[in-house]
Amino acid sequence: MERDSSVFLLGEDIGPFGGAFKVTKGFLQHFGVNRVIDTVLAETAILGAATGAAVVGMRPIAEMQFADFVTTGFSQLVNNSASIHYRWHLPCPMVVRLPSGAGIHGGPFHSRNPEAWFFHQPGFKIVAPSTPYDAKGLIKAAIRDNNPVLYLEHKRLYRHIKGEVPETDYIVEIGKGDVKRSGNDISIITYGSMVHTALEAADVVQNENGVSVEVIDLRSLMPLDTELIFASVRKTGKVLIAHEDNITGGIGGEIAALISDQCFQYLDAPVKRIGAIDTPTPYSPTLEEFFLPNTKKVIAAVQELAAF
Amino acid sequence: MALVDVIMPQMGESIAEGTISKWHKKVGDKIAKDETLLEISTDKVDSEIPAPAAGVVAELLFQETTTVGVNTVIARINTDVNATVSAAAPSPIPAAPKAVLVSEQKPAVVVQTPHAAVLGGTLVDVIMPQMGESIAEGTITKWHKRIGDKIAKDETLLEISTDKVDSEIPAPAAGILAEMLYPEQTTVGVNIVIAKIATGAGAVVSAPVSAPKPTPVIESSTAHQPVAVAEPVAHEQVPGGRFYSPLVLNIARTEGVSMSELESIPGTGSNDRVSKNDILSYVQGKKSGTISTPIQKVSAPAYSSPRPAAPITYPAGRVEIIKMDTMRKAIAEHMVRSKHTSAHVGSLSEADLTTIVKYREKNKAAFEKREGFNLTFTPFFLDAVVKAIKDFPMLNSSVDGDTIIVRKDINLGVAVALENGLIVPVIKNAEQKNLAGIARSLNDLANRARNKKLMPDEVTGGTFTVTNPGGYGNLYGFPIINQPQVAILGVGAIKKRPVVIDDAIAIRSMVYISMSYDHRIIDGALGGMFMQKVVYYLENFDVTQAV
Amino acid sequence: MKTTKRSNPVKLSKVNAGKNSQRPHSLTQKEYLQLYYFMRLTREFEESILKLYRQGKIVGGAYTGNGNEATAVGSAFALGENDYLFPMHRDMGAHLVKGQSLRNLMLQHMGRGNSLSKGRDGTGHYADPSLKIYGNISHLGAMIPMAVGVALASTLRKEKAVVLTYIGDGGSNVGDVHESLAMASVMKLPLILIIENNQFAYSTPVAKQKAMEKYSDRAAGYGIPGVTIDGTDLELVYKTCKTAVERARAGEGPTVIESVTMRMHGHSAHDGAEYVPKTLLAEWKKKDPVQRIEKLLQDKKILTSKIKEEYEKKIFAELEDAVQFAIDSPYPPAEDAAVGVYAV
Repeated sequence: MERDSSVFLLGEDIGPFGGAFKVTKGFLQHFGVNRVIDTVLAETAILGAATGAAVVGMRPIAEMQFADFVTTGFSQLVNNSASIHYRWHLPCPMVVRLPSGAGIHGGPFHSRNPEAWFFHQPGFKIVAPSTPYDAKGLIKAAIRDNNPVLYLEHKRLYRHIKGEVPETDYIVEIGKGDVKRSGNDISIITYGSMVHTALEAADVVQNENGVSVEVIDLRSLMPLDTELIFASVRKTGKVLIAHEDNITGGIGGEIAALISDQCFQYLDAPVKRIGAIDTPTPYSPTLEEFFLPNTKKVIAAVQELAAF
Repeated sequence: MALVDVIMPQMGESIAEGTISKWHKKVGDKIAKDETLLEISTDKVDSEIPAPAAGVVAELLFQETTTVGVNTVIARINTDVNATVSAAAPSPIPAAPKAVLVSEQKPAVVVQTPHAAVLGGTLVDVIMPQMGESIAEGTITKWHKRIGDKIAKDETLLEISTDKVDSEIPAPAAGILAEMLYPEQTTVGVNIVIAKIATGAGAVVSAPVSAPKPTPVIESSTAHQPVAVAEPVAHEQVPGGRFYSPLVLNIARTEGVSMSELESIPGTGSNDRVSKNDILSYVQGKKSGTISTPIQKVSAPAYSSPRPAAPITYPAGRVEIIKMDTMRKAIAEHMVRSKHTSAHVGSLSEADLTTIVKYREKNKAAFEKREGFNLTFTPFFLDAVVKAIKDFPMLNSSVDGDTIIVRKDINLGVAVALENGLIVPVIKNAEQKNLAGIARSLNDLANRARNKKLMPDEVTGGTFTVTNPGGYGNLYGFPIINQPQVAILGVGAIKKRPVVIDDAIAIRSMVYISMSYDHRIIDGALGGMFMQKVVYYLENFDVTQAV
Repeated sequence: MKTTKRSNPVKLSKVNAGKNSQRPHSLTQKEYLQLYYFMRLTREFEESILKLYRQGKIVGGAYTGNGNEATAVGSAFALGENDYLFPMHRDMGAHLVKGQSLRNLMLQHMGRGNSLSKGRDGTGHYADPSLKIYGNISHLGAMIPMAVGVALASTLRKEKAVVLTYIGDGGSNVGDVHESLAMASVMKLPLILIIENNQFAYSTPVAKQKAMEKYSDRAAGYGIPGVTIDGTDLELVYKTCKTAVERARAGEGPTVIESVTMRMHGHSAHDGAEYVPKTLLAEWKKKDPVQRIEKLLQDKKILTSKIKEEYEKKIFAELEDAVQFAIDSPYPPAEDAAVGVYAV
């Protein structure tokens, strides 16, 4: 925002209140009312306005208070933002920030992982950082990108994960994943909160079963770093795709199809996926635990895969 | 003559056709640009159609009330300046063709003629299956369908004959037989495409296609090379064998591991699967010399044992010459090879079957009523064998060079006599079946064996064989081991004999059990103990169990 | 590839309210003639589209704003060069007033490769930043939040540009409209929303769309001014819009103008509209906006028969040129479909 005066924020309660998750705390005081705009409670208006402002050359960053509420502005995103460049040959450089994810007792309407809906619409870029370092690099890349970028902020990771963040101006290139843990026997392809779950599981199976797990953090969901995915699959021959989103229709299915298509000769086992069960996110803690893919379940999946 | 087409426009997204309601002009009339030439009617709207050019109406291609597809040319205007009305009567409008609903994607043609060949659909391959581990080819003995015939899924398409078995081959898909690539009596290699079925709605045949020239893939008369070479892997699945993943097959191909070697590698994956590490270890072992290449399975249908030095002579006219059929040749080759492979040794025991005979008498009526088939004695023997194998698993193994491969699945082969030979269907995982389950499997397999309806994986993968010399009244037999197993148990005829029990003479139903086994890995003590266990289970049959 | 703009003997001049402060928004003779020209051009353009449609030359659907010309032309005439236009499907006149060429509009209707959208979308669905025209998409009301965003950008950047957009009687019920008005009103954004009440939303009459008497009544709910006018009165449309434009430019916020007309044709070229009572059509035919302005200017002695003839000749020649140009233009190459999803 300091680098480029065309960047401005709009969203609900982001001004004096600093945002529902306090991400923009202090921004209003620093940047003023013309750069940090508290809007009416109207997602269609917020997202449509962001799109309009982007089309005439500004770089708006719209915040959805919860990813769940992006649905009420869905039409603007899929009918306008995503296809403007294809139809109008004009860039639409906007960012939509989406506090997403479950495991915080949010119930069905405060726990969504919305990426699959937008993954399917040509025209979006979608990123999901899992570490503070990646979060900074990716938001900068998103702002500078001339396309509509959906930026997924996992609510549990806001404060549960801490890490070193350089003070310099750096970006994490959109479309490039990261090897968060190197291994030889099994590849876990994952993103967001599940990166940490996968890393925990990897430690356990290493110690208990001597199985060496490689964890690939996609970081970008659209476009996917297919080169990195395929290189890992060729190395290990066994793949588990892990995401917190519901398993059916989650982006893991597309990744599995790509792997089976491009890496068939390298597969020593069927491509496996793990995700939330196919229900809305339940509210009660016992139900939510059953719903979510947790470390224990990932361990079991990895062990089963190792034994194949 | 400069002719401009007038087309039936598309009056709405989902509209595929329009009806000509009224021509406003006749052939030969002058017409101005944008002047109304005709009126049309569609599902959505009625409309006047303006002429796209000025000139003289040259052709009106359809009569009023005809419905034509969108984008069809319906009239033509001659835009030449000198075009005049023809002196003769204007050419008549052709009679309306049948109105045909066409899809909106195609530029519409009113009438379509079918092609004189098989149209559309997807072509599904029919391949020569592999009817057994070492089988490399099969002979087409009889086509049940001709090109152009309809065929249902799983309906018999042809009959084949291989070294191990004759079989009917069911169609893999429903449709129309589009291609028949080899005539009867041709021998083709396993997995070669021998026919194609056109499936799907588009499959239509209007004219038969002549049968293809015979092009045998393999000469059936000469002995040929072993199949086990460094390019074994056109297919992933060895029928009846283990699953080999794409990666494992890839490694096998690049490292020159033959299919038969692959079959012999012990698998640490689930269901004995050869995993990546297993094959990599094997390859490593080969390189470092710790693993010797196992015996190459030669799958030649030709009888390949050494011939006598001098040819056999016989007086002309005093002999009958019978050419061996494929099954006979296969049996001959297998038996001789078995004798050359295993160190055959035999043991004989007898068992008192009286308890079982009584039990069977008591239960057989109810069993037959419930199951629809006869409860024979064979299931009882099989059941006892399974139990004994659990006690002595070494009897359920194979020899691979210096390695003994002890198999965990007890796949019991049961020899079944056929009218011109024999076949050994396999009851898979007999250890998971109870007496009734064994009886059912046995009955099903035996029936299908006699009807030539066995599937390839039902004649492979056996780990122990039971045969029945007693079936013909003989007391006992000296069977030959069924490779790559290490033991074969023969059951003699059940006869009442006088025996001594507690120093008294009793009349008991007795049976002799003979077993041939491989002295490379089963010594007399083990063989003997195993047989005694079989006897034990037979004599101590639990009569309280239900069947 | 952009085609050259239509060479236009009639230039759109900026209207300066200050000059005529005694007679606010009164039109000069020159401006009257410009308006007449655009009215005739719009009417003839759409008639031409209908003919071409029935000759199978238009890709997809075709829509006209027959009966709505005064609303489209009069409103756009109130804009300056730097103002933004978000037209709807019955506002071809607005495209033309803002300076769009007939060739470009024809190319759009025929899906040619050299159209402004390069064949990616048809009819008015294009954007032309050089004229500040941002065309509609099929979802009614979906452009209005974007118009609000453009108005917001104008405010943040202190452009003093206003944004004019439209919606129909049916479309005005869509949520996007209300969220947009909520945002624009509280933020006092420079937006003018014209509700084109042409009595029918496809086959649904306006009595089934609203419970209140006038659409402009809704404006009060947002705390902004709303007015209902006769949409066939070109002068009235112009003057009302001019006031709204000035209000917006002065930072006073949005205005809602309900412009009442009649949809004289069907919803689209393939809709026979038998559900419209013939008597209603006959009644509104008497108020045909093109005939009205023609009569007005003839009465004022501004429009002579010579000028009228001259304009007609010019208009038909321009249309002929545009149609032929479009017919002669190639479709985009097939593989072009795969490119351009993302901006670099």
